[in-house]
Amino acid sequence: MILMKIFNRTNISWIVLFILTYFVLEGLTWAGIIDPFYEITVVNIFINIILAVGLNLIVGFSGQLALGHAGFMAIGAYATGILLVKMPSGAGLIVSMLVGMLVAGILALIIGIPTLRLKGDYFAIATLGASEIIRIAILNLPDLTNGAVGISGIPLMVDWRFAYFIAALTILVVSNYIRSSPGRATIAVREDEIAAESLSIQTTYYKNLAFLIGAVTAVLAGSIHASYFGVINPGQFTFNKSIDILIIVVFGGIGSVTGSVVAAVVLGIINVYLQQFGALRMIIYALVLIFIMIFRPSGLMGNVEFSLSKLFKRPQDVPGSIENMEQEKGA
Amino acid sequence: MTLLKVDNLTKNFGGLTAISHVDLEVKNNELVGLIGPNGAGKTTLFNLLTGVYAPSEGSITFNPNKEIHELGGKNTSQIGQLGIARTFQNIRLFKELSVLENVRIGMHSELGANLLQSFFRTKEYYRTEVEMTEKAMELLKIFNMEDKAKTKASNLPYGDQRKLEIVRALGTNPKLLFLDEPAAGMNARESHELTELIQQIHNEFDLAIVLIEHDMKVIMNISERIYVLEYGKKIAEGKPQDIQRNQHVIQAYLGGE
Repeated sequence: MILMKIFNRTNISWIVLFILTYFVLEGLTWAGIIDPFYEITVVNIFINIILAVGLNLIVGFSGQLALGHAGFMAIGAYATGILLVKMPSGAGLIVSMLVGMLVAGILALIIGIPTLRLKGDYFAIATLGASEIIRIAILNLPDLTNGAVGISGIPLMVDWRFAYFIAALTILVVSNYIRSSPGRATIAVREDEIAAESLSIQTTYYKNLAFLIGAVTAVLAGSIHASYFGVINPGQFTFNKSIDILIIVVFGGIGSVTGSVVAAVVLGIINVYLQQFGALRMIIYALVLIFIMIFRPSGLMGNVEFSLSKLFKRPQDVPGSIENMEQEKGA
Repeated sequence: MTLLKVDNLTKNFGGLTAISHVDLEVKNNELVGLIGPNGAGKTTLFNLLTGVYAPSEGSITFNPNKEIHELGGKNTSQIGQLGIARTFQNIRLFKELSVLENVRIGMHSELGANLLQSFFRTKEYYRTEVEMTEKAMELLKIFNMEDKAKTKASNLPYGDQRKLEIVRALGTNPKLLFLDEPAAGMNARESHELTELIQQIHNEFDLAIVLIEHDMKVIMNISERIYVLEYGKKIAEGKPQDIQRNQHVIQAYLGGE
């Protein structure tokens, strides 16, 4: 019964879209267009999609600037790195993800509950500090994390299909969330906190919720990273990594899930083509970013979302839409 | 029956006493006016009653359904859940969202779906969405704004933005509604329409209204009782016709001999 309810029309059309994309990717792999080298890029793009969509929920929808997303990714990577070596199986991977999500979730609440009550920049500073604390802690716990050397030889349990599945799931959950009643309450907090509070919305709760969901999705990205590449070290999860993710969010459009996905793909592809320029790479990358921000200051997508229902002009897919009600009355 | 009772309410900001020993009372389904010169503390009083500020002294009790709640020390969203809604002197809409979404956000805490229902788009989720939309459209219809349901709030004309704030507050299904200068910046015709609307809300909905307004025509026409504040103190209360003749009030507004 519950399954029947979950598979309603909107969700099914999204799932169909995800399956079609899957087969396109599968075809490209079969045809050899995505070779093992490009597969790394593809998986990196999926990891970045998960990270950016999660961060966009915090920064773009609840309106709280978080500067420590790489810290939560590190928790996921190390949870998988440590546990998967001990139990190298599919179940081990799932358990390591759950452990990572639990740790990151608790940590997110420890950071969020005191700082998200406040207005101002406290949250940004606290997340920045927390991600550094996570990294320094990893560096200084050599028995558990192997310190600065990091962990290598992590069993490679993840292929691009799994990364794709998790990315699709993240997109589905986050976009369902933001277009729901609690999601609108979250956006209301971004738009005007005082007004939201006067409408009996518990603003601290929704800010923490967005932060929690974002942190937990970052763990998934970290786990995939660890078990796809097999090598992790604390240097991969510095402040720079957090900023890289933030760049994807800003570049795609703050407050657009579609934008984050598009930006992750575009920047991923740009990066591949820039490999051949060697040292010039970072300069060209920076120039591309600057030009795009000049010509599209609110990001590639602004805050516009891709919508299947709009695409197929089937207003009945949009819950409670005005067309929907008019049709009901006509019928 | 008394809905809201304020006893000896005082608010100090450092050395400044913004509200000083104010008593007031609002009965069920009453329409009360609150007037006073600029800086008299009217909005501060609203902010105290809605939990934006905590009182320095005194008590505020709210009695919506035979259960007495002390509001001092509660936060804004808790007070909102008890059934108090408000509008703002400087409009505070969710500007990037549509008119309909603005109203539905107001209904969230009462009617909205919970998290799991939203993640997985269950039947219950669709039911709550449709219910909220229908209620929102009904409210918008009363304000002649149903055609504008899809308009972005920031694109509405000024008068409609003020009206939307009232619709949004009504969406929370309040027992007590505070309107902070709803007619500010409106022309004569708009403010006349608004007066009629407030009257209509007062008649049709089961709620009490407290209205801050500088437009004396509006306030004298629709208030059943009026409180007058000056320098944070209550200087008069009574029926509109008594207030018009009250020497203190005339002095406060016009400056007497």
